[in-house]
Amino acid sequence: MSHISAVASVVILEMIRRKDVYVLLFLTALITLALGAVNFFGDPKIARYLKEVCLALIWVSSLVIAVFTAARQIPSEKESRTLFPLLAKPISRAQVMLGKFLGCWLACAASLAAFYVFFAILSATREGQWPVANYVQAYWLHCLFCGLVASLTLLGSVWFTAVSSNATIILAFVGAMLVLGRHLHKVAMKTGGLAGNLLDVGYYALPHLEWFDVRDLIIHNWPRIDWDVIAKDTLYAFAYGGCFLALACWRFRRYAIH
Amino acid sequence: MTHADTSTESAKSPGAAPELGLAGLLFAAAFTLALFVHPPIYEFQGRRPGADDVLARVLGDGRRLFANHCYLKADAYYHSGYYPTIFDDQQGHQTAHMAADAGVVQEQNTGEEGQFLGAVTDWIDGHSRKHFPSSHSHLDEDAPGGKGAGVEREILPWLELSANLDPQWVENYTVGAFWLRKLGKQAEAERFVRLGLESNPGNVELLFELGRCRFDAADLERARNIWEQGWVRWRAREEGRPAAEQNRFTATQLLLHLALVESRLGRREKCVEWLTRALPIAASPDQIKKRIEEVRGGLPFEPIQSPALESSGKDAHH
Repeated sequence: MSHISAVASVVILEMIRRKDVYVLLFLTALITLALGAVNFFGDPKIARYLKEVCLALIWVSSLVIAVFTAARQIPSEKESRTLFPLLAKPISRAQVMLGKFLGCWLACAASLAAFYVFFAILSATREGQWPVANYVQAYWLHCLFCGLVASLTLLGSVWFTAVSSNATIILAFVGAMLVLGRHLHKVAMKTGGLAGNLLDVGYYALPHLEWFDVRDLIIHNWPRIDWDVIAKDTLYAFAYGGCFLALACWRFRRYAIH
Repeated sequence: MTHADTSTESAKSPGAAPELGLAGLLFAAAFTLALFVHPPIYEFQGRRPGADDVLARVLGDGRRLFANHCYLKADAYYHSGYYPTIFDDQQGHQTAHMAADAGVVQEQNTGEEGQFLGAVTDWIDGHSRKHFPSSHSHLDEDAPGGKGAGVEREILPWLELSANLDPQWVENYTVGAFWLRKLGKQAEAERFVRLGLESNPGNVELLFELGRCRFDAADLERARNIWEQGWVRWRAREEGRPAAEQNRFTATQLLLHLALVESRLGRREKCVEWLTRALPIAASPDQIKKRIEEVRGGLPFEPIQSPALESSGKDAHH
């Protein structure tokens, strides 16, 4: 475990040194505050459009952070030839992979915490309420989503040759699942035939990333989700994340470093 | 030769005076032309508000697509996020509920509006529904956040944005004005309708809405004048068309409101006259016949089951 945490701490330190998160946080705050300054019919209590924009920016930022942080881990170690001395130490390839994942996930979780604190303050200034439990649920589900994306991206990083192709494919897949995920079965029923069967296989086999997106519930002040639903989501994310990481470890063991 | 000598020579040179004169003449001509051209351009822009709009220039006609998106977004907000996607059954959402509830359009929805998701097909579908709004509600009735909390205001930014993107889309103004009035923002509602009239001069629906604004402000005479103007415009626009193509919904609303305002002003004969005019075009003539009898019998004219009338009636009582 100490090996894994050592690798993870390096990933977190790297993210602290890089300016990506600060820039994204600054841009999110700037755009949201600029939109918040717009006056609609002289009503200062209008809040939901602002919450929607802010959450959309947070989701885009988190996706960018998760994908690009995870995608460059192994290829950059390989390119800068720091992978040799790392693997020369008493650490297995699986531990390196798990350490990279843990680092990426914690880095995402830390940056998300900053984003959600900003969102909570913004929301409270407009609506005058603090639905902390709802925000905690949304934050935790968002963290699970980032973990899933990071594990999938790490798998892609040992599969695809270039960082750009990996990142593009993952972003397209995640975007498609967020938009179409819950409708795949309906589309499959309407399509029919072989294509319909393939879509149905996708519906049951692919991870339903849209479950972790509860923005509409937060924006429109719906009551919080039952905790047993959150527990099921957590198990679901751990199961899929575990599968992706196991595959990534297996692939990394056969990965040609030279 | 010194520098001073050179300057004196160039000033005395034969070409300098005509150049200066020409420049002065050009300046005077440009100034005169600007004074001459500016008022018509200003007036032209006044006739076409938004002609110098950045969004219109950047998006072109594509802005209508975005306007439609914003309008649907407003209706989705009216349902607190519970709204069908292109993959769901949209029979119950052919007419925006926020517009139908406002009484500014005739509802054409069929089927069960709250059941577009259908029955749960499997455990994934069932679990998925716990992560997004999956029950039907309207902001002014039973939305999370509470009835009477003024949460209807949340639809307004999208309607204003939609109106900015497509100023010719009248529904944005009429729907927006209705909800603004419901929130007690009469002045803003009237301002919004007048903004719509700048882009759509003489539009019957907007005149009707403007009349409602004046009616709410207890300015009954002016409301009547505006509605009469609307009725004249409606006849000019619609009477030449086949009956099936006429917008009888707006005409009925206008005539019933005219009857209402005449009743409030104590002019029973005029009230009956407007109701009689509404008879051949109304969707439910029997109800109107009944009201005519009541008014003739000395009772005041009360609103007929119509959200538009109900709202105006209630507000006027207040």
